[in-house]
Amino acid sequence: MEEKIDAGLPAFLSSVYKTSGLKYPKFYKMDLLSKLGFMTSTFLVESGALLKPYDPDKVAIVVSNSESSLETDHNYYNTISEPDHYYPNPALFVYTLPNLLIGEISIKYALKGESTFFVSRQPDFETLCTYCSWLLQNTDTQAVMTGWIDLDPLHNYESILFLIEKQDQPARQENAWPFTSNTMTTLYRAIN
Amino acid sequence: MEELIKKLKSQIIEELALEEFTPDDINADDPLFGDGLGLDSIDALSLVVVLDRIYGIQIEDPEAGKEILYSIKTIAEHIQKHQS
Repeated sequence: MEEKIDAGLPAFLSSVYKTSGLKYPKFYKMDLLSKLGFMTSTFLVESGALLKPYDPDKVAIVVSNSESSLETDHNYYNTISEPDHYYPNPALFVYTLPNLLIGEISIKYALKGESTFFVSRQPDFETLCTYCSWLLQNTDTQAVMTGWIDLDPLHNYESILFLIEKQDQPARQENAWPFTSNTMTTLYRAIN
Repeated sequence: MEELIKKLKSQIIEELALEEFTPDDINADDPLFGDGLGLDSIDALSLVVVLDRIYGIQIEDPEAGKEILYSIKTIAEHIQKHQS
């Protein structure tokens, strides 16, 4: 899922959710960054089907972006910026960290593996690739969901997720691309 | 009271992002937490803020809060008591 769009993103994501056929009321409570990551992950794993071969305790999620949770931070700040209208919004406050989107995906698919969120100015697929490879080689991680999910306060966004599987895994998808930073960059550029 | 309950239902749906519900889906006597609407602790905090922001009601005693926030009806009764 990749697009640069305007303030219609909330309506767009709600529409995508409705047409997906999902029944997950908590979706409406998520902040926009989490909704974006949640729907992208839903398309990636086709409602969990691609994750079925794996132990949920051994599926890692590694996500990166440049704006952290700035869109929600702005919205939350607006609830506390005026002393005469100081009503901190708890529902916004809980999303003032970008890794909450990893939490939402983890809850949906009951994933309990490693999770990490990197913030970098540009997509740094080399670092993502190195870190995911390390997880696959040095921990009991069987698969990794990784990518770039970025959203700024003006609702410009980019969202791309990859499912990384070990080469010797019997569950590995057919026609999988080789896992390199060049592959990730190529696919990222292809949808830009 | 009926008018207040109707208004409260709409406000709670909007403020707590309960987009899958309509006011008619919510029974005023049903518990808001647990088996009822299934609200969570963040929703409880949001309700406290909503009551302060919209109705000028501050809930400072957690025990009283449990009773006040039990259902739409108990909230409406508390608002009415506060306004009289």
